[in-house]
Amino acid sequence: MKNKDIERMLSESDAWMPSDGLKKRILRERVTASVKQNPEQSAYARRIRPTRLFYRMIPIAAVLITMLFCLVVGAGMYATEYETVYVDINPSIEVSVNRFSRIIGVDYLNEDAERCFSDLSLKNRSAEQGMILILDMLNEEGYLENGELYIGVSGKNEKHAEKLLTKLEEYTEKTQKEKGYSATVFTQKIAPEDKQAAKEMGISPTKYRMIKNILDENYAYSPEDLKDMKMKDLRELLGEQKHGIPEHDKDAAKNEKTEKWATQGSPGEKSQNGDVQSEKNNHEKQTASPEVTETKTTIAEKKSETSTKKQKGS
Amino acid sequence: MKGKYADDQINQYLNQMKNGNSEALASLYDQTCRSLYALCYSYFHNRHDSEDALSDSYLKIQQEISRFNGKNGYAWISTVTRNICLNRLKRESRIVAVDFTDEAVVNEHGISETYVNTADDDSDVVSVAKAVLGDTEFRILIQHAVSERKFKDIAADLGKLETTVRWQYHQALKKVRRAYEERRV
Repeated sequence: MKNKDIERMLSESDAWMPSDGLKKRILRERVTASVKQNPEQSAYARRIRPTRLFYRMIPIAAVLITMLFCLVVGAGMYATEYETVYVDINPSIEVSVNRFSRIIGVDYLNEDAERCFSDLSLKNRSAEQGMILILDMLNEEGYLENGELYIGVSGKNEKHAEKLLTKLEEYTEKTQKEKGYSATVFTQKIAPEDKQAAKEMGISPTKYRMIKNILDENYAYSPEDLKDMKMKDLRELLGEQKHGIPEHDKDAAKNEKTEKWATQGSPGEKSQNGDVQSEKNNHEKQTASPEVTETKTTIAEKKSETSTKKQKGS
Repeated sequence: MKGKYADDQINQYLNQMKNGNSEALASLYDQTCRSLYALCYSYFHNRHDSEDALSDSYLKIQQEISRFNGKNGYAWISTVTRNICLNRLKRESRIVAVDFTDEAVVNEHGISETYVNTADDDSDVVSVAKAVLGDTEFRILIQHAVSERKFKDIAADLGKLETTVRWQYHQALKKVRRAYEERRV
């Protein structure tokens, strides 16, 4: 045996193999240990994986971003006008309502409204609460006593607008009963084109609709003549000309359930004793009654009279 | 692990680790564990401490990888390992030596018998070398024959001349050969 043999035996000996678990331990502990022992990590250790703090921050950041998004979106939705409520008795007021039925804006359409409602704080209240406050104020000013209250709702979503209108009607009836107010209430869903046209004329859509109906029947009047008249007077004028919704009013055919202008029976008739008369499905009742037929004949006669007068005048 | 090819491979693995390749550590371990373990064993003479030192060495290599200059990879990692072993020895030199064969002492210090070094842990030739050689001779023999360290480096560690270390190496080989031959007979 030579020294080289001993050298070879020593170098090839199995004694120099570490235990199997050591490799696994070294590979497992490579990053954790290096991070713990050396805060100034080498480039290699740094690239292995991000720190625990980073992983902990991910869900926190996700929650914060989601909350911020909801806040921004919610704030945007809160401030966006979704429906508009018009209240006319003679003071005309326009109330902007958001998706959550909260009042976000108030506009006075005439001086009476500004005088009457400017001290009233309506913003951020629910539409129903706002209506109660408006009624209380109108009563204080004496408008509700035997007066005629017109409520109109205009909105992007027709169903939602209709729902709000029904709710306002219920609240108004309830309030009138509880507090003994004696106004007659008329409600109507406002079409977008009416809203736009009314805005151009500088009047409320409910008044505009009334004027439009009058003009449809009576060409003797001009919009300027009728613009400054009170709602009650306009309705009486309309009532003189027709009973019920005119047949040629195309919108009426579509909105049978919601258009509630005309009274039943003779013109100018209104309910007493604090009962609110909101007239539903008038069109069907009116067309069924013999009085409507008479009314139509009367209207046709008047039309021909008017046109004859005009011809003579020219 | 012999020759230039092995050196180039080690350099390659170290450069990969430096560039962030986590898989290179496993390859480096497979290539160098024997020689580095032998280096640790030459200092501690037992499996447990040797494996602890080896584990610390690979950890240190990872931590200090940015300092690797791209050349002489094996020399660099064996230097790291040697430093780890010497530091541990310095710490352990402050610990009171215990006679592991004395049962009373073992029970008093609560030392498990699994840590008691026995000849059964090692192969035949290694146990013969341990038995017949002193600490310095054993270290020189293992570090050159197994870990392939240069006499110059071993001499620098021991504070001796290279010629002295070379002579001691051959003397150690001779002793082991004779003892091994006697045992086989």
